[in-house]
Amino acid sequence: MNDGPTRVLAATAILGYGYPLASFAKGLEHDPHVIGVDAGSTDPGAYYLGAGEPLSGAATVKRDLRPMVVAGMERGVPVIVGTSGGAGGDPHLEWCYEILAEICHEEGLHPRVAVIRAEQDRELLRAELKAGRIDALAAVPALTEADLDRSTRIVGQMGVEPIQAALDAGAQVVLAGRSCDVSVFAAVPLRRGNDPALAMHAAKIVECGAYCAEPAAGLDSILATINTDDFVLTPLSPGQRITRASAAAHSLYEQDDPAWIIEPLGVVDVATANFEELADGAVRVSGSRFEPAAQYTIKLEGAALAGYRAVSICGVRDPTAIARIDDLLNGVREHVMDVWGATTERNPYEITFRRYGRDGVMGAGEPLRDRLSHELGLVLEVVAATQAEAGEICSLARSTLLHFDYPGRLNVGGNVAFPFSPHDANWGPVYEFSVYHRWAVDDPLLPFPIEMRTP
Amino acid sequence: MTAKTAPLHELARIFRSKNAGPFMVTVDVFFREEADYQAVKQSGALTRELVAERYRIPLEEVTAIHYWDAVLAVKVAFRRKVGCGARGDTDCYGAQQHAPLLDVPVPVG
Repeated sequence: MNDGPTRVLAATAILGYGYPLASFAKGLEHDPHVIGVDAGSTDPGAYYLGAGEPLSGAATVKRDLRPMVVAGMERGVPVIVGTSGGAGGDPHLEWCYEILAEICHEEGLHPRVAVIRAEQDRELLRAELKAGRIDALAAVPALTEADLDRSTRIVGQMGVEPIQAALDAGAQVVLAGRSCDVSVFAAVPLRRGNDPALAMHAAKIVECGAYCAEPAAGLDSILATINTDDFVLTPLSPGQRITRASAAAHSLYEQDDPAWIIEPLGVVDVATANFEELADGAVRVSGSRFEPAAQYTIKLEGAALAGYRAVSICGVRDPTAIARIDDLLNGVREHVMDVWGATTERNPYEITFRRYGRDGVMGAGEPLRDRLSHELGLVLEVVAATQAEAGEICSLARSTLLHFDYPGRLNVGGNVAFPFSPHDANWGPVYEFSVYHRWAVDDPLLPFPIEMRTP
Repeated sequence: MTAKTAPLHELARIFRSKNAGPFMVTVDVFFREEADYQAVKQSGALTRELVAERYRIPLEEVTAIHYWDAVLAVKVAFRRKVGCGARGDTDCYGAQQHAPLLDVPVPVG
């Protein structure tokens, strides 16, 4: 039993990335049941989660959010923002709420807003870890209490249930903290009784906006219509179409196994899906299957401070210096250790030279080890316990790099070219993922408290 | 033996290198022609051993090579050396990690 087809309008790939207003308006003509947008990712690294900083700019988030809220209020359609502020922690949520409140003030709107928190209590997680209810995801070691202790902030990825509960409570706008991408777009279809495999498969595709279209357009809106036996993806921009291949391709986006979309409720098996091209560039998808999980789980993400970074950027054009770059860089490192002291537990710092034009992108994994280019870009990076130390060591290493006399040196004026004055930049704190684990929870709502507000 | 080969990038329509979570990278290779896809799949040109060698990583860090017939795609998944954005990372989004696979020789014809 269900309430019939559900039309889901996804505004863009990430809130603040921008989207054409004409596409969004065309999407509204289809009379959507929900307007959604994802606002975050782990891809940019743990910094945003740890530092509490937003990923996108306030002005562009405001620009993107305004038409969504205005249309939602005009039409009585819920607006859902997932992973608010980029990382979905409390500061990110409050930052996003402030922007929403400004929009509402300027537009004279007074929506009922649900703010759903996703930060998790360290002591609760410690107890859950001891109880054996937190296990490791692929490629990650088992969680330890020390990992919890060193984490600055830990969030959980909410499923559809907290968003549905917020809608049940009358929310017109939902600002969710860290959420599964799929939750944002599957919450309403599942609440309306649509098939879980179809709802979640469709949600997985539209969470990146029209990135599944050809030409790929992550910065554009898209419509998904979830029917009884299939779902249809409809492009909203002129000249854009969704093909069998492009829709299928996006089903395996960012998954390490192409056949499975793993969600708190279970797994969507898309290996059996059929993709059929329709008129007007739309695609019909059917045949994906849902296997409910025996245990409801949510993914936890934590960020820990790893030090402070300072950076200096320069280039090398001298062929001798390029040929002897290892001698030069090793010499610089030795001189710095001589002056500043060796790296020890009491004097922790790391110097990294990134050599663009040689192995800057692939690092030690670069298979073309022995090619010399005519020019090298160097990024000198220092991570130390404090910003002041990182800056000092970077300054020392940078001046050494300029003047160090390596064997066979031809040009004695200076070893590198600095494009900028000042040469060094204090890059701020460095955060790393300290938690990326799976937590078995019995109540999908409990970790995600909902607060109703009216701006 | 002088079997004719073609580099993988000549057979492929699209490469897509991307993080799959903060600790994995996947390289998806899509083909336009069934024959090209089958040439790669049937030849066994892409093996975990070859991926490990090309990326200079231990074999156990290459977690999967998945073929998806309906989509004419193969997905290679391997562990990142460090989490995205951590100290020592060179490619936060994992967006440029496909290059070592571009010229994998695929027996054709």
